[in-house]
Amino acid sequence: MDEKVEKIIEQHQGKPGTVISVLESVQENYGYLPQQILEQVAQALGVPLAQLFSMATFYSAFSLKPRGKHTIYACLGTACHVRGGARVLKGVSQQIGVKPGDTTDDRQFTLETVRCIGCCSLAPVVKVNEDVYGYTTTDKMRGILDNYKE
Amino acid sequence: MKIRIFSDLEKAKGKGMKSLFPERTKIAVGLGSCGIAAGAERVYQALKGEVEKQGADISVAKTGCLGFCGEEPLVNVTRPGAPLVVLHGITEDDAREIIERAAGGNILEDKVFCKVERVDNFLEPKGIRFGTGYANFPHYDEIPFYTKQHKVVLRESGLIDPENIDEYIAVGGYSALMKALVDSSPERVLTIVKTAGLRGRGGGGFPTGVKWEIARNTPADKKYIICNADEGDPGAYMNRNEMESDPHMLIEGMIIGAYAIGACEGIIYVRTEYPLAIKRLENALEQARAYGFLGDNICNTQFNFDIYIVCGAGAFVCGEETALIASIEGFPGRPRPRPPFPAVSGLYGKPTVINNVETWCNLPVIISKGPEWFADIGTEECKGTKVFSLVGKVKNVGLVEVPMGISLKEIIYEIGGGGLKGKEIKAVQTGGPSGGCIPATLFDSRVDYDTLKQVGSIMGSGGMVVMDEDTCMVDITKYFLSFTQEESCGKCIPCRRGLEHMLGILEDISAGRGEMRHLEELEELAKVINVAALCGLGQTAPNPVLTTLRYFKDEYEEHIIQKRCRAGVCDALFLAPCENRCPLNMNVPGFVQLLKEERFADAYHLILEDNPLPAVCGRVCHHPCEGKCRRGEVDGPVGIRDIRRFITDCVYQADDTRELRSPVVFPETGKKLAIIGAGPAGLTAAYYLRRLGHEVTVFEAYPKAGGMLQYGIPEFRLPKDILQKEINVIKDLGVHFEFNKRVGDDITLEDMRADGFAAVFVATGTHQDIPLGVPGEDLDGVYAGMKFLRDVNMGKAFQVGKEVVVIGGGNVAIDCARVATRLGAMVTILYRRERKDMPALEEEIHEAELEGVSFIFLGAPRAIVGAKGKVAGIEVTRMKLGEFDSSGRRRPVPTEEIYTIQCNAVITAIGGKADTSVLEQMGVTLSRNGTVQVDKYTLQTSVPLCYAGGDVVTGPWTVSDAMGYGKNFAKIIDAQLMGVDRFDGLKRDVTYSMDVSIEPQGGKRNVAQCSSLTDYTGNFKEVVQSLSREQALREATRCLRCDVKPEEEEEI
Amino acid sequence: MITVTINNKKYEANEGEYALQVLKREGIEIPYLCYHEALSPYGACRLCMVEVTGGARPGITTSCTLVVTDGLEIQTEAPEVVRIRKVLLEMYLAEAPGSEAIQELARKFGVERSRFADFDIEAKGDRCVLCGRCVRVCNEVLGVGAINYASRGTKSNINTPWYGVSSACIGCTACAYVCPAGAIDIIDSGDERIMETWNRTTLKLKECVETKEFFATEKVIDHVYSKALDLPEDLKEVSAGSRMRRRASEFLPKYLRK
Repeated sequence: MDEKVEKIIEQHQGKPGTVISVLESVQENYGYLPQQILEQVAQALGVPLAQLFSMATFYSAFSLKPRGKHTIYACLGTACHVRGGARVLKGVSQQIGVKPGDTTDDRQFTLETVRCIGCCSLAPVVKVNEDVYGYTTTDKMRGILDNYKE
Repeated sequence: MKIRIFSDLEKAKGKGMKSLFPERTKIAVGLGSCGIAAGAERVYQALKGEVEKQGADISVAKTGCLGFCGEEPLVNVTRPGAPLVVLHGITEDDAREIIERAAGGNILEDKVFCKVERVDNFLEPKGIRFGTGYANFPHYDEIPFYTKQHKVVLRESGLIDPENIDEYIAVGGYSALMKALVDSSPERVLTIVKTAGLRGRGGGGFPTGVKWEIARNTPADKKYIICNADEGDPGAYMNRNEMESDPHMLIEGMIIGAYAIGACEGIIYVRTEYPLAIKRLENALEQARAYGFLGDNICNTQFNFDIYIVCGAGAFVCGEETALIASIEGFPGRPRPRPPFPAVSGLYGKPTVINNVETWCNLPVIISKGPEWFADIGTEECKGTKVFSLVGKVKNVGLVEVPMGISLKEIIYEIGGGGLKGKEIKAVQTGGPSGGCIPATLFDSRVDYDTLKQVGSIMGSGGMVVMDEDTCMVDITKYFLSFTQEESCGKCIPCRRGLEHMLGILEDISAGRGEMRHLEELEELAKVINVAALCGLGQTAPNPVLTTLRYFKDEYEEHIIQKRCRAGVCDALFLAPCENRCPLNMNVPGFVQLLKEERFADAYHLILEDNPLPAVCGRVCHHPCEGKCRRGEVDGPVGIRDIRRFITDCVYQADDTRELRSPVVFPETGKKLAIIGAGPAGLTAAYYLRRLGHEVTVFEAYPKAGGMLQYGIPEFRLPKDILQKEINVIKDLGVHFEFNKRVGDDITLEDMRADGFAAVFVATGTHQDIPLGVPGEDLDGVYAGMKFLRDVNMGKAFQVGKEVVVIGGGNVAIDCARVATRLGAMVTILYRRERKDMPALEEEIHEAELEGVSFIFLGAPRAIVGAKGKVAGIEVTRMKLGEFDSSGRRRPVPTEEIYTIQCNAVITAIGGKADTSVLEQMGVTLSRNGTVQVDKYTLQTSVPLCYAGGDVVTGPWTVSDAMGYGKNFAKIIDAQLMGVDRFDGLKRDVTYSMDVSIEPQGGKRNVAQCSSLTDYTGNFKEVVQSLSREQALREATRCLRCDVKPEEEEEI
Repeated sequence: MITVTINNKKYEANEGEYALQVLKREGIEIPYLCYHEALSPYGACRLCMVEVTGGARPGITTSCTLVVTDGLEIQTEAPEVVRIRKVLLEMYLAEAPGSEAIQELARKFGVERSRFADFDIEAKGDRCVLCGRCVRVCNEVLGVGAINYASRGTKSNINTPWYGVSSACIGCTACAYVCPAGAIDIIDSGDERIMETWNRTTLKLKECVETKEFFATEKVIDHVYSKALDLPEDLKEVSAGSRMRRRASEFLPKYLRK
């Protein structure tokens, strides 16, 4: 078993919610849920691999494919929707050339939609990695995303 | 150091007090997620940097959120003995000055938001006291956003450091826990919670004490409690704030609950989208453990308990309790059938109590203050307070905590400050995707579990999204359904497929493919899913459909029957927001672009396709299009009315416009149509019907055509020669006019039918003044407003004297006032509400002010006093503002005060009504206020072949709306007579560039030069001038061309 | 024994039973998909709904999860129940247009056609109704867990991890056995069992030493022996028929000797 995986299992074993917490740590460490890693986890935790695959494909925080360097979360919560969030999403999607859920060819950006990160007073909101931007427009996003490009 | 006994707690309290009230100036930055998103983290770093740079003896600290998110970033400045001062809208650039001033014991005054002298936090007998002073700063509870709030759960948010347990203890924290463990048995605590009447704050409203009791009484070797912090409702973020700003309150509440229930393990299930909340909770748990509040033998008792955090992984359905349990157990969040309920058999099959964050947070104060204190707040059925996230199209956005039972209108208008940019609020959505949209007419409703259910919604977790006239209710329903459908776990077919199907129908409706049978289908399916779905997500997912069908069915019908989206959201149904809002659907982007290309003739023609009176409208239209203009969100709407006026004025100035005026005309149909009334509605109907090839006769009671345009609006707003030019265009098409013909007296409906008219369009308007109804109205010198304007327009001379009072607030009142000044009088307008409530156009009110008209607001006429049969003055009752009505305006209420204004003449302009005697003769059914009842979609009256439109149907309204009726009538009757819709054939193909620049062009709005005159006595010349050529061309570049839609590869 | 009233007629029932079990026993026919006597109640298909009119909290609920109590009154043909049932069956017709068993079920309860047409069934195929029986039998009864749900919502489907060949599957065919829609395809070809639906996971079949027929997969035999104690060793290599003959040949002589 990989050392990293061992550490992750150790960290969460014996506490409630072991399985989901382990998967979250794997997602954080590897950027996605690789099959070989999950096979090790299944063995270590004594749960069927199919159950882990079921978890991996059920929850939107998990991905089976590697994510981009930066993840753009366009919020489509009610307040953001009512203040034009869908237009901003369309603009960003056209700007970087991918649909929500996909990653750009140069692996720089993954575009996701999220429903409500709780900053409704600043609607429409876009989050890039952990940075939250409020009162966004397509124009503003262009400048913001340029800052993340290498 | 473990805290085991009360004296230990006192020691920690001392530490906390020193931190909360240090002996030097402290500056605390509001670092909740909203604040950070607004830049608060940068402010914090900048302040720390400045303190170091300036070597100031100031501490920089963190605090949570005060709730008024729209004002973030917020910064608190405390000095020993002085009130806490809150600064708002702080950026990192302010840091230097803040520190400089603070070092000198001063405050950055122009960024002051409010002060806090004392906060009642219920646990401390004297509350949290800062100090008194700063008389000129408002106290925070004087700010409308805070005045009606009752902060119990949020009492310390934004005042203490959420990462410092001692500060929590300093304001009374953990004393309730000690009291419960040391002084009470678990049963006693349970009784307290039951007596308090606390109900679950997650949305279900289940009595908390009852749930705890079930778990307590179920025998098992292990019991759990869970905090449901998977706050997934879009627009709701109360729990996020509760965890970020006061995590210890949640922890203390959970420990108390575990004690009462007999649980040994607690889990906080937090959604992964809340990283800061997770961090603050982890930090707080560590601190609580260090003090011995978690672990073994808590407070020297046998009670052992600890709390773990489990993070969600992006599934809204995990907010449902059985799905949440499944998630913790290591499975996807698929709900399980209930019974068995979790309180009996939950996590790992053991009794489990799941409560929402806010429910747990209420515990410490209930224990400390006692259940009666808690039960005193709220209503009989719903005790305590509730935190709501007030977001959307409302001025004051943020978190509000109010007692249960407060009305929606108090929350939205008093706390929320009403709509944005003067827009009318249409509805409020409560309960997230499980809830419903409550229309503004029901805003008197009290906010409690049962009332909200009665009106078709639910309390939910507390999200409150305000919607205005720019929100399309079909679109909102589609939005919620796409959310629930995406989040559906898929286990049961009614939710998995039922929602998919309903969403498909809604997509059809918003794309113009809807049919009326779809509405029945939606309702039937909604009711099946309500009952048949396995869990709360599926069962409540149809609620937005059911409430919008209940309260906003007309919007659905408009999408289906008229293929129209009145809010201007459903893209497929309109060209651009301006065009959509225009009652005549003018192709605004088209003619603006043609102006930009300097193709004046083509621009004029394009205008004429949609509007037969463009020069008139270019002067008097109330331009609702500009209210929807997207450029308005940047730096002011495009001057659409001014542009149209410029184009038409230009074209008319050219000598012979005969070649330009040749709109398409169809071959003769042989059908005869009669129009009664040559006002804007009648003229427009005549114009289109003639172009469609019909024989049109317009009967007009007065000597000339134009209606209110001719006999109402004064010359200086609408020169009559311009009006006549445009009437002549219609005449030259071959429309017959019969003037001085009054229907009923000179000609009847039967006569017309006998003459072979296929249909009659009644557009007689509302030309009768509504009398004031006060004593003295019959005195010499009292004039009815519309009659006054009519007589002036007909050339009658008036002596109104030196002082004139005009009563009313609409455009008629303003016109009367401005005419009176030109007759040499000093004019005062008396209006019973406030300036902002006047229905008149803002620019007209402004013109009147420039011309020297004075205004008296909040005054109602009581009686007109006379001397020798002539007007000598008017008695006025002073009004004051009373309660908000459901439209968000305060009702004027009479006071005892009465005063008299001296004057020689009184002009009454309080409204108009139709001449019902004529209408009654025709036999058409009237509504209660004397207008003609018509079918909304066919314009048919109760008399066969008799239709109606314009003010006679709507009551006094606008020129363009009346014209819209005329245009609509022509379309409808032509389709009926000819059996096919030929209307679009009237358009000619005009092409123009579809290139759009990405950046907004043109700079700020161009405004026409205004006259510098101040005395208009005897001067009836047109006041407002047109834009210059340069101005007009520049203004045209400001258009964002919303009609150009980007290439769509796939639906997002 | 307790008494319950179904459609205004009284019946006897065992305490702790589920209402659906009583209905089945008494021959009162209502449709259902996800219930199976070998599995714990799941409440997913929603077809077995009945109306409780007395003796418990009134309302419409699934009979497979409704524990009977003395004095319980239910109606299986109440108008609202019938209406819901019909709409659900229409949904199932569109959910599994390729399943004859589902069409028969719908027809049996009066539903020939479906108003629904556009369900996105690409992910799961045209026969599966997502009742979950196969998943539950594999996980709960066999304790293997080779298959499970994947994705969620309209994209839900049941499959093996990463839609690949399964190393956990033992080829017991319990999944196909319990499937009410006939959605799982298994082909025995020579000495191989091919689980077509599970991405052609292939298992070796054991040949009976007596008859040379292929009677079970090697993995099933291993699995049984790992769970059960004290099984005679020789059962690993004979088919059921051969097993009977062997036992009979041991037993009969003793009997016939009399």
